[in-house]
Amino acid sequence: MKKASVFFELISGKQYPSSGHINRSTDSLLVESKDDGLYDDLTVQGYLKFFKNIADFRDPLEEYIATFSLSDVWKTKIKKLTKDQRKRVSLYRMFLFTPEVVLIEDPFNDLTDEGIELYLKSLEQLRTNNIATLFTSNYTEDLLLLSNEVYRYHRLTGLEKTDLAEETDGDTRKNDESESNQPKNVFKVTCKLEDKTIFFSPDEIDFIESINSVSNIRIDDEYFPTDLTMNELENKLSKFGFFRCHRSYLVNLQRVSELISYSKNSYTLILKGNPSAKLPLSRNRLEEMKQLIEF
Amino acid sequence: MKISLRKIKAIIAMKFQTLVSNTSVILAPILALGFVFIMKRIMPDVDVNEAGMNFSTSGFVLSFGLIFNIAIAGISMSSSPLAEEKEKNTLRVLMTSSVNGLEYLIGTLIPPLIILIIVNILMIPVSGASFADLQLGSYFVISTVSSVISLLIGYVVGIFSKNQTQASLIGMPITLILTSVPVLKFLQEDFGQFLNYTYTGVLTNYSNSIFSGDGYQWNVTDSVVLFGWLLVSTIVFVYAYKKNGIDG
Repeated sequence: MKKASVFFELISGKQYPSSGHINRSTDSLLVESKDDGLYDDLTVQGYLKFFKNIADFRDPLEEYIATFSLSDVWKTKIKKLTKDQRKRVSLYRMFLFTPEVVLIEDPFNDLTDEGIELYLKSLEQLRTNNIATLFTSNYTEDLLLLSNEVYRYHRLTGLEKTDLAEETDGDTRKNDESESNQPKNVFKVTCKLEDKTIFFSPDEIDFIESINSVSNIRIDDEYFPTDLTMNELENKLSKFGFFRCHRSYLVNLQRVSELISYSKNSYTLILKGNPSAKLPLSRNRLEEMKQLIEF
Repeated sequence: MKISLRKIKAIIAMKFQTLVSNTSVILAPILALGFVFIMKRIMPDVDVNEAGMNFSTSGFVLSFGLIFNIAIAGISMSSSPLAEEKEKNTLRVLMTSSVNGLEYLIGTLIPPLIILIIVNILMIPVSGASFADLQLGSYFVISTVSSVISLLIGYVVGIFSKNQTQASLIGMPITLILTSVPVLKFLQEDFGQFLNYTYTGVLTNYSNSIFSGDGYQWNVTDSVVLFGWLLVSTIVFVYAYKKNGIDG
């Protein structure tokens, strides 16, 4: 994505901003772009040995093979590796330089679930060595797996921190009362788009995502903002099989097809027919979900 | 620009590995040796040296082999890997990994140069010449300087190409002119005069004259042409590098 490369070039000082200025307290940073290449004719060992010499890295390479899950392909030529494995070789290469900051573009692009799991494990090695990591991605769900701080880029307002905190809402009770006279099982979520109002049945909705305190209905790849808050939606939709899997996510359980655990403390829900949508599931909510769908 | 020997050594080692495993590049010097071996066996052994006309099969075969190796293999050995690194975005990774352009160029120049020199020397026994015949010192200087010129021309081609297809497209006419020297010189006298001013022309003159009784004598024209080409190709290369950078 062009925006990501411009952003990285601005941070690394290769490009100057057209207005304002950027204060950089370190020059020790490495950039990985989505289409960066590796030397296909070298083996994983040969490739990393080359960069070990360039980086003047002291420890033996073998020490970290397991950390980056490369034992089975250590002597394999890079051209025979899968995308998952190449990403980890690349991550190992950056680790050898022990920079203060690494900037990585869209790390989960085309990665399998197993690849993501092993990538996250390798990433821990960088973090325990005090290497700050910054990622870009087209999917907020990817970023939630990678970090606790997520920013969104908006064409008009620039970068905005995504509010992952739970919204407090005092109007919930009032809404519940007004609803008591209505038929119970009819509910449509309304979204106002310019001059029209769209109604969605709960079963059409994949999940609802809160971005900067605005609840967005997700249907396939489309977003529809609604005026209702996450708490209101949770109250109304829980009887239609919706479940609050994360502070910022309300998922339609009928659409959930897989539950994956990438590490001890994080779980991810994969949706039917939309494998790129990965919703985070908090550990304490897992039990709740287990009870709900009895598995 | 500060250069680090450690990084240059690492690049040399890596480039040796990638060059040897790159069949399209390493094939040219092997073909040069193979052609010379075959030509020496199928061409009639002629050695004419009278009435201003001289032709010797050994000289012709040796000059053919040298030019094949130096012009074809030399240019492709530096242009193709550089273009490939740009095409596959590996050069960008290197440049962002604390390697600077000068370290990269020195590190990538040495492996092909060594391969070219080894093949130039192997060419002597394969073409049927004896080491005693050909004033090894002059042979080494002329063939090595020519190899460096070819590699520099290859770099200029690589700098201006975005991918390997473009590199071979730009490199082809240059290679064609440089390699046609021994044949054209023999067939076309007027054009032959012009070809004396190319560095492959100097190579041809040298190869022909070592078998012509008196041996090769260094002369002003050849020295000026050879070192003139070295100077000009260096200047063009530095200009291209400054203007474009290697990953431009």
